[in-house]
Amino acid sequence: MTAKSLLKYHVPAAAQRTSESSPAQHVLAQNSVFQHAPSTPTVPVVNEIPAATEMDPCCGSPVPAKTTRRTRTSRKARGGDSVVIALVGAPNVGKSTLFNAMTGSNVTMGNWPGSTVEISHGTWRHKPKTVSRKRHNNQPEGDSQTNTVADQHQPGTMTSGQPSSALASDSPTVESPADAPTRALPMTAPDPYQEMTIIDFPGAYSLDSTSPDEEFTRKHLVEQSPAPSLIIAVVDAAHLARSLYLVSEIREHPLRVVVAVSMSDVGSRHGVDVDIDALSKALEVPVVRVDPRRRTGLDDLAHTVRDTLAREVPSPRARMDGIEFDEDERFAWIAQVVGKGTKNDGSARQQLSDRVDRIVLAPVAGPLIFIAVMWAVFQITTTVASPLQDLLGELFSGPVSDAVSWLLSAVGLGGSWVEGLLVHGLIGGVGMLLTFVPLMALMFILLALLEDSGYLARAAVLTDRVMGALGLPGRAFLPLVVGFGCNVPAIAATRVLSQPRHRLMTVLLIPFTACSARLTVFVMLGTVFFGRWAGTAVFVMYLVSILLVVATGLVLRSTLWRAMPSEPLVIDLPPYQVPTLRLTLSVAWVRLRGFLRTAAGIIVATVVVVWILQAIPTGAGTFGHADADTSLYAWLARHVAPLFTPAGFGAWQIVSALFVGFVAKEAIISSWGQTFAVSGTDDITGLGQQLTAVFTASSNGHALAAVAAFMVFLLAYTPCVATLAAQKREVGWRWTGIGVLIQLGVAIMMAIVVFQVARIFW
Amino acid sequence: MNGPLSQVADAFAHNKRSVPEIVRATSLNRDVVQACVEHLVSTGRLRLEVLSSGCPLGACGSCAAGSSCGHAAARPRTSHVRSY
Repeated sequence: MTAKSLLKYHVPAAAQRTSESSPAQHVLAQNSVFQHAPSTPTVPVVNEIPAATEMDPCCGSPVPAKTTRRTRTSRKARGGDSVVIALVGAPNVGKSTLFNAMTGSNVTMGNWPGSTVEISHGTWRHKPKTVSRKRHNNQPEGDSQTNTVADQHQPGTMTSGQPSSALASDSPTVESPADAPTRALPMTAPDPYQEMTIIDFPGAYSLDSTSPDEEFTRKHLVEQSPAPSLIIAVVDAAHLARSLYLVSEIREHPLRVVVAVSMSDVGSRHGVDVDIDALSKALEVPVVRVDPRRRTGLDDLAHTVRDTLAREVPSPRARMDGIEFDEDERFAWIAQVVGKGTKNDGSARQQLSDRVDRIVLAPVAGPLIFIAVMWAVFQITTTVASPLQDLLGELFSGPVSDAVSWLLSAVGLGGSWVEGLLVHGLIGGVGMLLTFVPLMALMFILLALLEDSGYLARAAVLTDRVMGALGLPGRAFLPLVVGFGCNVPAIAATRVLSQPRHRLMTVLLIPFTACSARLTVFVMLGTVFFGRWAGTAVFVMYLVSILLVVATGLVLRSTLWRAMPSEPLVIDLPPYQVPTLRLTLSVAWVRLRGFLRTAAGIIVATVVVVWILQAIPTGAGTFGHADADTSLYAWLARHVAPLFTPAGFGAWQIVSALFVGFVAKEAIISSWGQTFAVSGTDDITGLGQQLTAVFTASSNGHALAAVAAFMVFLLAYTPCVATLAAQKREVGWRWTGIGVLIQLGVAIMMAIVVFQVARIFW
Repeated sequence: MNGPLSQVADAFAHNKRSVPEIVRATSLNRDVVQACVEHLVSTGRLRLEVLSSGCPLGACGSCAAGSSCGHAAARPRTSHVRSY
């Protein structure tokens, strides 16, 4: 089983659970970013923004590192005598599109002096089509016409046409948000035709200063005096909560804010319907719906901005009851705002996916469905691919072998050791393995379909849940899942684990996962011995593999590593989708290509070595004409075979294949193909008959029990040499050796138990 | 009183494995839960990883079998991030 394009979140090592802390504390208490709202924020009322002139090369100021003058901007626009609007918002909310729609071509881009943060600023010369004074729910009647409330010349007051540089030099005093509402900080209503300078701030999720862009935004919005005259906060209707975090922080300060809701069309497609009036009430600031791409809503935005500029600076938002003024409080506020400000939160659109997930991820039904799905995969694989496999087997044992023999006879090599190597060695061994190509292709296609549909991600959740319930580290399931494809990259994948103990334990568990090479042998044995139950037999081995991983993990935890820190995780599940043919075939082909390359490379080499060992006689005969039963190959295997007699497969033909399987598990099939080809059996049917005879003889008539024991041994015993090399690189020789001993011990013990129990029934 | 962020963190710690599960456990709006998860990631308290099959993300250079394997398998598709 594999799972890709699956996102996993986990708590980093630095934030691991302490013995005293609660789980919630574990996740949150380590937070060094928890921030309370500043207790002494700046009261922002006026515009500074000398940026345009500072960035202007003609003024002798520092030249921005990367300045692009798209058009000539007027001195008035660049100068400080216009209202300055800060355009802020999270990345990808349509902020820059809105900026372009507002400013047209009057834009200057470049780095902010003294920083690497790139900003754009331009002039907004919006000429309203109709001068309507739209009121918002939070704006009391009559306020919109208020022009002057307080002294226009006092610091922090802005009058239309007043140079911003003068205002900037006279910064307002710093006060707490609680005091701010008591200050009247009005300004005259700007001339409807007056230019306003718009500064496109870099995209920022928050003011938490976790990036240069956020630090820049924080500094210029709430820390540095004077602040912009007004802030337009752009929020994404489709991801309202995410966009509102920045708004929640800005609203902790006495700042003029207008919220522009963009991407309403995308929100509608996701089933999210933002109620502008309700959102305005909840936020206690004006809200305008805009569509910068279609240039709609700009009139409303212009009127609202001018109305807001003419009003008093709004009070900071009230703190949520019972929660500290921190990020948790902000999310509580956001949850409340989203609840009030959306008529439809998109849950209806997600119901189908959720409904499916509720079933496939249910504690009881989920694993049962997973079992059924995997059983279906193996059953379909073995039944559908079987005729194709027979066809290929007949092709290799018939026309291909005959053609090669004829060609060799034609060149005078008929009956020579060359014919033995080519026909009985390469065609018999590699050809036998290649008969599994249709079967493997079908299995890879089915697994790719499950993967592309999004189901395997759910299977990963189920696997992880089982491991978590048994106390195994949740994150370790990632490389283990990869291990069901191939153990080698799975061991490399253990590097994602932060804890050395987790890495070591997972490296030791990975060889118990049934990689696709082992599955090939299981399918072959299943087909030969279990007939129409072949799929079920393979599926059972799959389950046994999972049980072995879990059981061995538990034993290791209760013996070697009792104090294993846990690493909670959550998986962001991809949405269900109809699998695409191109992607499915592409993924299946990549895996099949790996299978073929193994067959063409290491298997061919193994086949040659096996053939040489089989060609060397230990008694009568000459090189290349030895009887398999009296070859060096058989002689070596016979010395070890008795060890496996209690497991029911103490025959040299079977045990020798296990040695070959040390090189690559698929080579077990090729070695049997060679062994029985020498005996005159070239096709899969003949191979099956020979194997049945050998297993029957070695188990005293309990062939099925012996085959089951052999499959379990194959699952658990020493992995291939490439996996061992990977283990050595990750954990060194000592632990690799310990792992091999553990695997051999578990394998032989389980094989004996399985045979001794199964022989009672079979 | 716990805010949404603490509730989401609690759900994490109580073996909730997916956003839908956390939504069910907390009764919070999905968008709010998603925003909380992203906030935990952006503030470094959670790490975002892409599970891969086949070759590791760093291609052959980061693979233990890089020298012997010699071929790159399919790279994980990352476009399936749920983003409602």
